[in-house]
Amino acid sequence: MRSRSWLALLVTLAWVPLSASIQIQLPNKDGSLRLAVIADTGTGSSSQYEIASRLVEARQTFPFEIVLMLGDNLYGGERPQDFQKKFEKPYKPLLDAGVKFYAALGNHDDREQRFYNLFNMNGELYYTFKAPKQNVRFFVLESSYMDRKQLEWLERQLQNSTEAWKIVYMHHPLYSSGAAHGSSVSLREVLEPLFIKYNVSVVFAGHEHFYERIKPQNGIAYFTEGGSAKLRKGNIRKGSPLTAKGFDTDNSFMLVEIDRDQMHFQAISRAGETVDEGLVMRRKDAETSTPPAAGSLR
Amino acid sequence: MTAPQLALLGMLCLAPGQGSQRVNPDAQIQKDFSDRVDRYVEVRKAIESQLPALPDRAEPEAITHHQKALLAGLQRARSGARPGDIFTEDIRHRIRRLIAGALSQQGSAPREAIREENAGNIPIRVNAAFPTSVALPTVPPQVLLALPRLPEELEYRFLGTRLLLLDSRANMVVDYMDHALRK
Repeated sequence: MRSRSWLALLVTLAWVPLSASIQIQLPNKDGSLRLAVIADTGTGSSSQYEIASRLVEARQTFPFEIVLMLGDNLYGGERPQDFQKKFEKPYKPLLDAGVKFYAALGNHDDREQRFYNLFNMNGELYYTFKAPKQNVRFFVLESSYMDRKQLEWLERQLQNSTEAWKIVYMHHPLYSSGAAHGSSVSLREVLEPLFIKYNVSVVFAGHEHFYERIKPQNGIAYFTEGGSAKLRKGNIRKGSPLTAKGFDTDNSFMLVEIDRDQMHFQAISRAGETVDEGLVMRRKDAETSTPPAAGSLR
Repeated sequence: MTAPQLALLGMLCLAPGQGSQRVNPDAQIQKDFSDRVDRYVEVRKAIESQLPALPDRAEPEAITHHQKALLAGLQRARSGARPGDIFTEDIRHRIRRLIAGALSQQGSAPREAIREENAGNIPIRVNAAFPTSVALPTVPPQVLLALPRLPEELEYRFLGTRLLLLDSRANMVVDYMDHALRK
């Protein structure tokens, strides 16, 4: 009898990580911008559906309005039924609640996804959009094909942007400790000078199937969140000088809240555990202040 | 005869005759390439104009239908298309030089970007759809900045050491050239 009790306790404990409810660590302030970040999702797998359920759960206490999709939105076939299985069904509760998804294209995505109404790309391979009410602008890039036209467009958009927060997202990470892919150095050479010049504060990317927060580079906060359905277990190179925090043992997603000059973030695993959290300060105009030091990320 | 007079005489002797033209051969090759690309785009536009317009915000059924119809129309209109119709021999030489030049100046990063998730020299055909099972290999910006500009309907993509000219909306291989990358 006693051994049975122990067995029952062990079974219960084993289930705890899978059944733990999400503890929101964000300020959750009225008027702030609340969003979620996912990438490499379009598998139609149970992992994708489980992360989708976690998003729904998180939204009950943290009512985010938008979701950033960082590419590889649909792997393999792109028939109408694939759009259903790999996007519409898993995120149906969010779509029904009016949450808007803004997609970037990854290297597994057909370029025609830009016309899909629920990805809000309005027929563009790369585009920009403003947060509903807050002083935040997003720049969404097509990182597998960074030609002169896109670079010129990006510089024009960054130059003309008057919003305090400039946030860029794309599929390929400029910095990464992934053993499978690693940093997209050739892309970084052409993009990072623009990010520095025009005060981009945060860059999100996917592609690597794990979560990684990079130590601030040139005052810019870089995040990789490519584990929202696919997972490359143990792929973050141990001892990488780039990693501030990495999580590569389970699927994950991010919640983000922007309130005035602060961006709070929380990375959450499929089991509902918080695997990273912290704060990023907005970069100020280069002429009036110095970039934030590494300590601005906690 | 003084030195300046001799110099002037030399210049007159070396000057081209009245009827001759100085043509930059690379510019001529590039123009030929642009003309071939433009002719493709004309054909494409004619086909697309026959299709129901795809709105900027469409349902998956409409997107799939439009892409299939565009692909089928292009395949019919270009049934005689052959490799090298656009990437002619002269253009292939020129493009190989441009790619080699871009890669030689930039360290290993662009070459690594091309190799990443590159499916290799898998069989492809002009006018065939690019396989959906294959990831689109990244084309490094350094190479794109060196290559001739393309209209928005077309993209360069590497597959193995081949360079493809891809119609990104029809998802169709318009032309390709082997050995675009030197080892």
